[in-house]
Amino acid sequence: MSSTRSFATFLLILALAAPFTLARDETLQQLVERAGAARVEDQPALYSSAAERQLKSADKLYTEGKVEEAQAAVADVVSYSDKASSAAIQSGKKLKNTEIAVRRMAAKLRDIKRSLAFEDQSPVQTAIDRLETLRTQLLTKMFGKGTK
Amino acid sequence: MKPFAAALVLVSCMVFAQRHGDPLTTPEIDQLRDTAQEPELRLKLYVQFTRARLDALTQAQNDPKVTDRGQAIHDKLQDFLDIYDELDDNVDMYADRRNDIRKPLKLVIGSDTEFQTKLRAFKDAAVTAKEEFRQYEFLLSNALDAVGNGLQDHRQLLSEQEEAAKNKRLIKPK
Repeated sequence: MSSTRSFATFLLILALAAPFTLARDETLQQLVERAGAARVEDQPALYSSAAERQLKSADKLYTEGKVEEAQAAVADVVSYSDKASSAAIQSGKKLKNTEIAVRRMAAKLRDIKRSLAFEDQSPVQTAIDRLETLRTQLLTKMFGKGTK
Repeated sequence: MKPFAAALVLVSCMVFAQRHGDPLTTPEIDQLRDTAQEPELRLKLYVQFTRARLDALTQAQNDPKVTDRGQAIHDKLQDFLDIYDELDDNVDMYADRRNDIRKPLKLVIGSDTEFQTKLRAFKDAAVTAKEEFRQYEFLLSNALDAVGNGLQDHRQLLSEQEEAAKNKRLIKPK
């Protein structure tokens, strides 16, 4: 009887933990697909998460000397940040969170850029510039309403 | 928010979001170079640079020679926040790598508390100049949030690292 109860408890824990395990093991492609299919107000968090993942990948790839792959990951950071910002602006939700996420990613990119050879810095600087433009757009949306 | 005040906040936010320069100086970047494998030294340097920006902020608030004080303070706050974000990112990076950063983490936590106290005191003194304050109010609120969240996260990480150290699951510094 006791072992049946233990097994039932184990199954319950497994069932409760499943969504979290699923979220952690989700591939980037799955995450992006989920973001694309999500409601617009849920998209900022999902796309920000995808951008942050690619930022980690870019850092790792640069450290491993895989510059071309790293640059592709940096391009993804910009693309997903762009989508997160657009969704935040369109829905008017998660504006501050998205702005903070974009600001932090720009900070990380600056840190990465300093570790690179001069000839590899340009695409990272372009990405930083784009993220700063996105921040401006988010801030405009946050503070622009009252100016009309 | 009144239209004029909102416009003031908007313009100042746009100006500063569009700054693309590096918040660190060349000598500071040189000091950080090649410290990626030395968490203690690297985090110590970041704390030092962040503290310097906060000191510059207080100076801008009190310096009678500063003409556009709102703008100057906003500039210093942005620099502080940018470098604090980098400090925080570096802590995350070492934590992900399972580096034993308990020693520098204690320094970071002490600094978080110091930064929080100074920022709160700064805010208390700043609110008296209302028009000026509006120019950097949003950024100051972000800085206080960042440091508050940082303090909480760093304390949590230290406790996790203490636990991991008991099970010898951390990479010791060289």
